[in-house]
Amino acid sequence: MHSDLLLVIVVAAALVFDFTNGFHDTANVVAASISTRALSPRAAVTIAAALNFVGAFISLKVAATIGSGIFRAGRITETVVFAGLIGAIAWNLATWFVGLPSSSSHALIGGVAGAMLAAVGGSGIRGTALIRTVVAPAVLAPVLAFCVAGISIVIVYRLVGRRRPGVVAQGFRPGQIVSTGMLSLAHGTNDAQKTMGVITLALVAHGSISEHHFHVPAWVVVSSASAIALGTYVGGWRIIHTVGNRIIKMDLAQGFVAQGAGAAVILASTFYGYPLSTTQVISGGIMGAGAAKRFSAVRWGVAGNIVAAWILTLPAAAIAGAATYVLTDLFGTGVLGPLLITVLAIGALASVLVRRGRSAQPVQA
Amino acid sequence: MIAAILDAATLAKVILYSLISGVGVSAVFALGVTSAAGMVDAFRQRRTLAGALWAASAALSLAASMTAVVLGIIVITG
Repeated sequence: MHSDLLLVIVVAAALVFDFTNGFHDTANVVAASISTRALSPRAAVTIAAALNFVGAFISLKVAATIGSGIFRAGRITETVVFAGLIGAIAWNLATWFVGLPSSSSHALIGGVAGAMLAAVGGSGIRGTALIRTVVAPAVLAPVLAFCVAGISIVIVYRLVGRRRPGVVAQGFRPGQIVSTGMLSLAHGTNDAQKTMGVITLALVAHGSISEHHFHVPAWVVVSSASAIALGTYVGGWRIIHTVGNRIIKMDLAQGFVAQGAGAAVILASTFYGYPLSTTQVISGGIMGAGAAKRFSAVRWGVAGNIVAAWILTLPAAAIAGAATYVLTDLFGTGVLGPLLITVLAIGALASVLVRRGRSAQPVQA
Repeated sequence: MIAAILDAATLAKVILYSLISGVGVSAVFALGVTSAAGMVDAFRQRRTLAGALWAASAALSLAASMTAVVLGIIVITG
């Protein structure tokens, strides 16, 4: 009974995390298409939400990486997963509050890794797999998106440079609508799978799934897809009302190329099961498309913040996850600790949202 | 040693496929856009043959880029 209640708490925390992931990332997915007026805000957000939902169904390789590749499923407990999720949510909230462009994905992996370290030590984590599937792609992917977008925009401008701008803009409009769809699909497939992986880890810990026959149940796929799509939709309306005018100015060709580069890198990485920071990849694509046109047009301060987020997120979320586990463990191995932490977390979340609302500052995407 | 830990071969494939799909689709679609613009200009100047050739090039480019997108999704789902 206690174990069942604990599983329900863990699944709820994972779905809240998934919702906040979609909520957080909407701006990145739709910003370019709204900025270039390829799509109206309403259409962009609706397409992003729908294709995030669809994207969650097209692959399970990233879920397998999270669920059975990085962590030793046999050594994990529901409390570890819970502590990892709370650590990730805490780090996400803290960075959201101060405006650091943090990666939800790295926070999730860092949080669970930290809780695992606190619970069973290093033996619960496959260190080589962590470097191979998380750290190396984390460094590579944004740089790759920058290069793909940069090379693409140079070629595109060479091809269309002598044509009349009005006709060219009309031509790129449908292209950017398609690239917005592809980016939304890519975002949904990579990000929703992380939650699927974590919920499946909890199911293994609960004993509902054998660690030797790892698979993601259909209800996990559907609930994760729904949570990220709902978060994307709700987050989209927040973006339209608060940061609609702060998004980067770019032309239709740049928007098309930036989003296409982001989608290409995310989908190629998803194919090999790499859980990426989609935020950082999309930022890399936008900067690449901007830098190739005019180097000084790029906000290099944002690039500095991304590098800081790269370095900080995994260890900081790990510390938060470990601290949450230690705190939970004070109340024993039952459901009491997670229940109390959940109440505390809801209180902290409400407090942060109220403070944010009072300060009337636009939320960083 | 480092290459083995990092799985350099798989990372290289990610780089290659990202470049091929990202740059390739953008270039082919841009070729379609420039062809469509060429078609509009040619028909305005009553150069029918040139306009038809530009139209064919635009249609082929559009079809190629859409095919690449659909193939990409099929590969991912597979």
